[in-house]
Amino acid sequence: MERKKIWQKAIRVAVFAGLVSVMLSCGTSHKGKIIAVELDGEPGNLDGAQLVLLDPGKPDKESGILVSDFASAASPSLSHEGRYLYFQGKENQGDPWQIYVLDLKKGALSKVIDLPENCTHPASLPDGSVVFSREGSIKGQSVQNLWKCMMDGCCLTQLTHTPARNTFSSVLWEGRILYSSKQLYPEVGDEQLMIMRPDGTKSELYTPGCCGLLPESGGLESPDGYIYFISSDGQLSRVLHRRPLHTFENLSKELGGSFASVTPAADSSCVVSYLPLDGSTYGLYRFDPRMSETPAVLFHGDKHLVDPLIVDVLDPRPRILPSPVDPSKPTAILMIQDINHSGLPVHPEIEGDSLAKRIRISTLEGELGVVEAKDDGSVYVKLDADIPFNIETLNSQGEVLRGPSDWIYLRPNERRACTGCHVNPELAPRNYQPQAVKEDPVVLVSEEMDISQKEEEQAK
Amino acid sequence: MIRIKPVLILGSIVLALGAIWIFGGRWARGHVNYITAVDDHPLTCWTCHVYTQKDNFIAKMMNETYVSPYKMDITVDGQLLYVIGQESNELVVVDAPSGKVLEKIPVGLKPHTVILSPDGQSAYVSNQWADNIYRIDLDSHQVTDTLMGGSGPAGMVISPDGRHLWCVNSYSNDISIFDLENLQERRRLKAGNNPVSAAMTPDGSEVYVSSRRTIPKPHMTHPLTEMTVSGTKYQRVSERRLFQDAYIMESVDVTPSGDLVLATLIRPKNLIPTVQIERGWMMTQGLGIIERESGRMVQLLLDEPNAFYADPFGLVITPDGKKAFVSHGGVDKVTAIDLDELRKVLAEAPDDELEDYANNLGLSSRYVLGRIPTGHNPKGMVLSPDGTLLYVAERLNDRIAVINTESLETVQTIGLEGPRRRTVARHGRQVLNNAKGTFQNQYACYTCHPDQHEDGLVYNMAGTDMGRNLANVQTLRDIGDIPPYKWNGKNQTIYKQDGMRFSTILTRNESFTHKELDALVAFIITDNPNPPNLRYNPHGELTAKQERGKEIFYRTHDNYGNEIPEENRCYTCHPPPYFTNMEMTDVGTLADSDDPMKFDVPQLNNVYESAPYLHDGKAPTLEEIWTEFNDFDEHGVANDMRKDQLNDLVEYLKSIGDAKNYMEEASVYEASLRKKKKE
Repeated sequence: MERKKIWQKAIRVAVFAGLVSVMLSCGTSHKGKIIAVELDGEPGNLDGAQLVLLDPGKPDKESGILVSDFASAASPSLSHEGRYLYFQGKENQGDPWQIYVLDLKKGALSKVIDLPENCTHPASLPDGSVVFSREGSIKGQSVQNLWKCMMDGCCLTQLTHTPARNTFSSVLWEGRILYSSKQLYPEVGDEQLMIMRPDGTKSELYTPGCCGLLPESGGLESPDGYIYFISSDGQLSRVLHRRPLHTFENLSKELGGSFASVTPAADSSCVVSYLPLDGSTYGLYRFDPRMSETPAVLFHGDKHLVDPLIVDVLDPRPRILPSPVDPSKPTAILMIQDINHSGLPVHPEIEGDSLAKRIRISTLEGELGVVEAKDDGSVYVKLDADIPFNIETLNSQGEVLRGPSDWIYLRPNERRACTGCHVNPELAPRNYQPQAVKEDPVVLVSEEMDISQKEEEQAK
Repeated sequence: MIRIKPVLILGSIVLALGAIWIFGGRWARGHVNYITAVDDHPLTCWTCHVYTQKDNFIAKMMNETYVSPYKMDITVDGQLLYVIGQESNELVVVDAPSGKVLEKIPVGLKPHTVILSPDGQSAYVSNQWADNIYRIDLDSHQVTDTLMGGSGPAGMVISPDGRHLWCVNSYSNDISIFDLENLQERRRLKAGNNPVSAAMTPDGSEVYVSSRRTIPKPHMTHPLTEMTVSGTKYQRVSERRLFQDAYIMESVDVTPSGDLVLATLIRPKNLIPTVQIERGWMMTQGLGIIERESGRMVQLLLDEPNAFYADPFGLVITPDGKKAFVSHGGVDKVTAIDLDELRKVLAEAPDDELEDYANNLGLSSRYVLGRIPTGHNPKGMVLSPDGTLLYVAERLNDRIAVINTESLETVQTIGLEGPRRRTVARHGRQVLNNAKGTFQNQYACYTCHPDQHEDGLVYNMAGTDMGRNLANVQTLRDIGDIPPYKWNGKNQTIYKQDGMRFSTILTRNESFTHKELDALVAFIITDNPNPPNLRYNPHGELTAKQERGKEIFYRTHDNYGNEIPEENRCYTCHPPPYFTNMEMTDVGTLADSDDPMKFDVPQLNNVYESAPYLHDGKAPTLEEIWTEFNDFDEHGVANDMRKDQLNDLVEYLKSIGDAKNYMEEASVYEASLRKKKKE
């Protein structure tokens, strides 16, 4: 009898435990709902902005604030499994923006990082880390670079190293990070979309926009392979990822009104933040690029609604790319196949030869060194990692033929190569062994580098 | 005592089980970590100990024989499809309209191509691993005759009058021309290196033969792959057109108007340090084109800046000459090409910009009409006679896809009645052939290891610095029992070879899942035999020259009667059956561009088809290993040899075939070693 009671009790406990675990595993499902930012003021002013949860099935229901106790919250980004919502937030109005994460399943909220500078525009990566934009200063100029850390704030790493505003990142299905970049020093450049691997290596131009329209937001990938973004004057644009430099489309040309943000949906339509010509506030609309019809309203109110995202699971998830970056190695190597292979004309005021014989590499602090090219125009150098530099090509008289280039940087242990200087980016390299790599690289390191390390490099 | 005993026994059992659980688990974890070189691979014993079994009862239970449709032909009325079953060694007859399999006709080992005679009476099947061609009567579906030509018969064409059959011989690198009246080989023409496909011009005046491997060339210079052009009137080679920086030209075809010859090709970037994949830095794929009127050779890509279409294989042109289709075995797609647009691009291309045209990833958007998804590993294709339907062999699905050439959509799939379940090795074969493991699908394992062999190129993998440690690609055939792997021997197992570092250095993509890696390893170990060495050792009996060469291989004294030190004898490092002792050795071949290291002794099975030689491929032929790179007899004592002795040795080496043929020789050798030890 006693034994029977024990068994009954054990079964009851097991059933209860099972039910609890089922309930816990179910959590709160927001699948299909839309998270957006409701602005308290005008577009561009995030003071008082709040994250709201909207249900497309109940468009008339008042929006619910997703995270309370924040003076401002904005820039939501969802992890690939649809569980973790990253956003930038301010607990008090005077605080710097910081990155937070909300577990949509359990409702748990936590602060990812706590830094003295503004940290904005988080994007979740498939390995569980988050990339975001962090303010800094270079040459007295306020800049923003991309950083990465894990969800608990550990392993903080700077990814980009340029005097620019690097922000609005997103991860593509192939695993690379797309982001918006605008050079700020020494001259202010145009906005352009850049792409890099998630360890910051192999950063390169993705699209500069087209036809006078510059990308003004980050880009987001649709399941059918398009990258959607907002370009100048609130235009909705897209490029085909397979060939981003020559497939620019302005989707809003015939529509009128203004777009503030866009997020592609699983069915290849988009949810857009749109202000119709006759409207007064940005609302959320569904827009199908295949139909070229006026966007259909989803949510519209007295306050602007921007930065929508659809709660969903990304299937397949973005790929996790391996990394050759080794923080213990302070240098990286760069090979240029032919410094005379270029899509740019030489500077018109040149009096000497138009054939480049060497390159000059400069950092923000000034000239780092001049490297002679081999007969085939190839150059092979070892440089400090994580230092912005640019390149000019020089003729035998020392005149600058082309350049300076945009700022480039190499990550620790990165091995980077390019075919030439501003060569058509759609050209694959020619197949020959550059003469320069038959010898050790020319070592050009800045003064800051530890002398002993320098000697070790030279000895090698 | 009586009560204590069972308790003691029980306790001992519990303790023993506990110890096994704790220490056995730890041992197993350590063992699996060693094998896989990672610490998170699941502890599943059967992945290594069951799936990788060869030639025993378990292997028979585990594995299946698939059809693996490869190449096809179709009757002039479009009613019957004849499909090569590459693995089942069959010719599968399919009723095309209904998609019903009518018959499976047994053919020879590893059939390659089927071609129907113009009168529709016969089918010819080239049996690549049997060195013969079957003639099959299409009424009785019986093999009526066997044609004997060169080694490794592959692609074939028949003259429009039905009198001559041209067959390319992929191993002996020549072309056999048969007289179909008496079925005798009438002439043999020298072709390129590893020729595989042939096409005849519509007027029957010329035959074009495409090759896969580069012709021999100086070390670290451009790959040059031959398109052999022969006139049919005198049956002689008229031209040897070399496509620079291209190889693996799997298929060739001529437009109906005869203005263009098109061939699929891959453009490897083997001479550049392989530091990235982005922007076509490792491989690009496209078409080699010969403009017949001007003779100009042009290469154009089928890839796009951020999307690559690995391993182009089949190529067909519609009867109206408006479209071409290319199957891509690495990405499970068929590319449809607008030939009029392609002609416009050709017309615009200045002669001095052809290299930029050949590297331009953006041009394909002008002439590519679409990409049609297929099943696993699309290979050979054939069009219905009216050109409205395209049949695609989905090799690793045992199916034929039927594609409407107007809508570019798959309208039907025809099952070939292969095994229903997917074995682990079959999954591994799919992994090896598919490029999704590589960033942007730029290449598959298969690309550098066509037919699981090697591509004959030397790469600068730039594992540390650029320009250093050049690596000659090694075969994947029958390597399961001969670790370590890589020239530097750093990988103790195939698991490690294809694991995490492989993805960091080579594929630059997310590494294979555990399941994919298990499958890939199982396939490499269990399903990769060497082709029979019919070219140099067709009957298992050595020629007089080879016998003399064998004596030199096993010699213990040089020509002057001096005893050769044990470590300097051929057989010490190259003992049968694999002709490797699996040790790290220095044979004096280290180059200035190499880091200090010893090299894993390579196996010599089918070594004749693995040129170039040595770790960095600097020896274009076997002879040059000793005539050019053995100044100090570090790679075996050879400087005493006469020319005829070296020739004999080389002939013997070329005769070495699959390891299974040398088990007895290995036993004798091992017995002699044991005897020597005792003495």
